[in-house]
Amino acid sequence: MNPQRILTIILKEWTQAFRTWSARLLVFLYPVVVTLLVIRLLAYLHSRMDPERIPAMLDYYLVIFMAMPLIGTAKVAVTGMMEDKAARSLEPLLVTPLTSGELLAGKILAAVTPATLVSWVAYGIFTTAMSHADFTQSPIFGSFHGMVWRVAIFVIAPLLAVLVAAIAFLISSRTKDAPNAMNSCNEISALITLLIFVGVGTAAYRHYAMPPGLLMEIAAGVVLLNVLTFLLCVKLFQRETVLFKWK
Amino acid sequence: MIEIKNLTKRFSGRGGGIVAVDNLSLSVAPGQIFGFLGPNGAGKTTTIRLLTCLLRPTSGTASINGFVIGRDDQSIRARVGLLTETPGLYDTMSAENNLTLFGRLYGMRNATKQVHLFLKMLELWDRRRDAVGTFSKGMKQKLAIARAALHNPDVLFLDEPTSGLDPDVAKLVRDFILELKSDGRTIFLCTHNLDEADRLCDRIGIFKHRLIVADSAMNLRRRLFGREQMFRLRRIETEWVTSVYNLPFVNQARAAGNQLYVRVDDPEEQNPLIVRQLVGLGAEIQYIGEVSHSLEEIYLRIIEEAESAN
Repeated sequence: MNPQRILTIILKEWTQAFRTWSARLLVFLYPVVVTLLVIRLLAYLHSRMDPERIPAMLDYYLVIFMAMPLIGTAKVAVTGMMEDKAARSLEPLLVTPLTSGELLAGKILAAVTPATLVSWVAYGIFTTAMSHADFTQSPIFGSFHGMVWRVAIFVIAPLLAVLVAAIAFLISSRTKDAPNAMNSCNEISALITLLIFVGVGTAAYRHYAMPPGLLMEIAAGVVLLNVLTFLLCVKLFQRETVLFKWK
Repeated sequence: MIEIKNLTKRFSGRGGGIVAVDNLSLSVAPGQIFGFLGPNGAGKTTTIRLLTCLLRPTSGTASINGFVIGRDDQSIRARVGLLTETPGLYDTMSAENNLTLFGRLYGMRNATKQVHLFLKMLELWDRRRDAVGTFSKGMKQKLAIARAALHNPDVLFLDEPTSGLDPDVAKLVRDFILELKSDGRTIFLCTHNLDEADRLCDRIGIFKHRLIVADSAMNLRRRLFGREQMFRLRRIETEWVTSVYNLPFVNQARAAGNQLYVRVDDPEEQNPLIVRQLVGLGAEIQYIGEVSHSLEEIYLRIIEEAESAN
């Protein structure tokens, strides 16, 4: 793996993906707006809800932070792939000493990094706002500083983003137009979010906060899925496959 | 130096699949321009893709400057450049950034200097900061050629470099190719432009899934048509044609209008004898010249013979 070549691919992907305002807004602004809405909603609910239920409610917001990088990741991944296919720019790229692994790594990092970093910034805004809000003086609000949230946001969310990027590549390689590929990726992102939401929701419904064991199981499951999709992607990014199987 | 031995590529599919390249053996010397000619679907692009390590051969071997495809792919990729059928440029990036991107992928330390040199040589300097999406087809093609040659590859594969270009741009591209040749690069040129192949190439290979023939255009001309001489006479008599044909060194003689066509092996030695014979018979010779057959005639004859042999 040559870091210079991976970095070159990352910069190329970003140039392609972020040339439109829609992509910039989706990746950079959408998470911040959602976070501000969450803070506002939490303040509103605090004044109207039974304080006993609030820790479980917080876990719902955890889902939002976990799902936050998925849409931006899918957008960057799909845009890069579809533009490469439309311009037929992959063949000249594959003639260079760039390896399939470097190309895949560059594309995954380009897709995952901005959305993940922005989701971390959003989490930072959230925790900062919470630490300055009057209604968070109660000890029950301490949970979002805890290990569960940190594992969810700094481990599971990036892993999910990598999974979505890999799925986006698999879909894009078989799809002829960008909107269809983007729709499919969004559907899969929504499905992943829904699955997490069901898991967290079940815990919340039973009036207890998210058990750390459950998160670790989710993390293990995502790692397993990542390995499987990565193996598929490595096969997909072989030169002969790119030239003849990508539609 | 390109060395190809029994290279075969079979694509699997229904009915046993398709053999795109069948037992190709060929060598191209360093610093040569080799013209690879053949009809559409003959397997020329597949051959290029095999030699640039984009495809794996089904059997056979090939090497580029001693590096074997399938074994030394990374070394080969660092030493070859490819102009693909479609330019495959990034439309949203500037011309300069398109080239710089590839310079970085090739690990070039002086990429900027080389990028600027090529942009100037190919008359793209004034538009270097413009998005490639705003370029004409000719400008895109020039940029794609610059990209292929940017890292000073030992061997350059050019697939239809002047296809669809206007004469001015095509000439600029041809001059650029000759400039690259003068720097000692080996150039493997796929083209349908036979006039261009005739002008640029040291050797020609005619290919239709298998290599039919590979030689210099001049040798191919001689092999197919011999050295045909044209004698333009003030008037022509049938017995003069017979008389010339009866000379022991004449392979063929025919008349067309007031022109006498004579095929011989050594015109420098034998033309004076023909002139003496004709003048002795009372002929008045106005002009003598060697008939030049176009590469198109050679190509069509070879393809036709190959098809009838099959």
